[in-house]
Amino acid sequence: MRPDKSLLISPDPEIIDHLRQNGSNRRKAEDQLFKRYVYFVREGINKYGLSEDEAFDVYSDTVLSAIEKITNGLFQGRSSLKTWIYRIFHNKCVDQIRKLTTNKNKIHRTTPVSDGLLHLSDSAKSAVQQLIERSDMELLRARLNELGDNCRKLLMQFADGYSDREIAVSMDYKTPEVVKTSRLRCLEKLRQSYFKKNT
Amino acid sequence: MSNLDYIDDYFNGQPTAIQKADFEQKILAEPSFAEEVAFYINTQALLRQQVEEEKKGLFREIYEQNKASIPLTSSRPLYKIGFSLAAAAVVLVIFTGLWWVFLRQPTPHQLADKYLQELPISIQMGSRQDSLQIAKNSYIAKDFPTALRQFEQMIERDSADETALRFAGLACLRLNEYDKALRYFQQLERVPGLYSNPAKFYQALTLMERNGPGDIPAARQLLEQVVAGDLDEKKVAEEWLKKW
Repeated sequence: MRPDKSLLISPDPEIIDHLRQNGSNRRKAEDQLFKRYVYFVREGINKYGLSEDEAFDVYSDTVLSAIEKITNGLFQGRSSLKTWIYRIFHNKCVDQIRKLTTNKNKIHRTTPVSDGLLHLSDSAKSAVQQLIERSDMELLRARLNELGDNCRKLLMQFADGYSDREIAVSMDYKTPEVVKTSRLRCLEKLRQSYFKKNT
Repeated sequence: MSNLDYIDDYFNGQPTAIQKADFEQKILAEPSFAEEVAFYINTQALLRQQVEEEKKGLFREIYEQNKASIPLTSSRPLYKIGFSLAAAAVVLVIFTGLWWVFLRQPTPHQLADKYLQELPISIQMGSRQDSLQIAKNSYIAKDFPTALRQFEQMIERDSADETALRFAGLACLRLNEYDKALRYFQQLERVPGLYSNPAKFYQALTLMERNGPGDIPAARQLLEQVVAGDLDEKKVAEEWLKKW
């Protein structure tokens, strides 16, 4: 299959705008961003000595990280998009090499701190952290997969950074309030399913 | 009724300090509420992880579909390609210049020119100014018309004067009168009993200078005869033949 050349020639500002607008073009802009610097994968192989799969994973993580930062307004355009993304990619390559060359990672592997915990003060964080460590994530994953497609899509869009207003547009809900009610209903359904079988 | 609405508002809104304090107090006071907060945080983390996995899957599809055409480096803007071309052109010009100056083989015409320019003229030392010396001085002074006239006067007096014939031919060469030069050198070739006679070599030299149709092959033949016959200027003839 031939590459879609239109994806390769979109200018940086257009990609950034589409990512920031969080509208219907965001998904396309994510693909455009991925394709724009996909040759970094070869750089990961040739310059950093990673395997193709490792280089692909590092590059994918780089793009996901960049998307999140751009969406949240953390990319301020002080350097070119390429320079900025390459810096992220370089740092991730170095991290990957460290992981591969030291055993520390295996010994001290810990669950990444959930973003939600950062909203809490130390005492509350500690209490919630203990509960999180006791959680059965595999069960939660299984229960999540048992939810209906609509519920999953709704929850995933919200987790992807779309607001209730944006979800209302993309999923044909009447109002953002309806989206929120539906979303919380799905969460409640998951909670009941999880705690019911987890007790 | 669960507290998910309250928890959702807390994490997605901008709670005040009082709201934060109330929320955290509730976590510490009500284990079931803390459990719900942990569930909410876990679910959001899991959903984000699944979103990333899904996107990575799509990226993988794009990567596999376009793998063969992935460039080794970024596509370079045209202005950068322009700079590269300009740099390449400069390098090419420098190398061409160096080749032109140091390595290029001179043409037969250039070899002849150089020879003529550097041809040593012996001058007889002494106070007596005979006609030969006067003519030679004119030649050395690059007054070739005068020199030619003076040498021709000598030839009129003695048609076998090998020095006059030789310099008359050379003066003609410097005046670009090639046919006349050839005639003098051919006349010189016919002078009998000479120990040294460069006439054949000078005829070749004249043809190289004239550089007309068929002149260079004819000059080459003459030079080969000079070498084969071990005639005057054999060494120069050999060098020139090597460069052709």
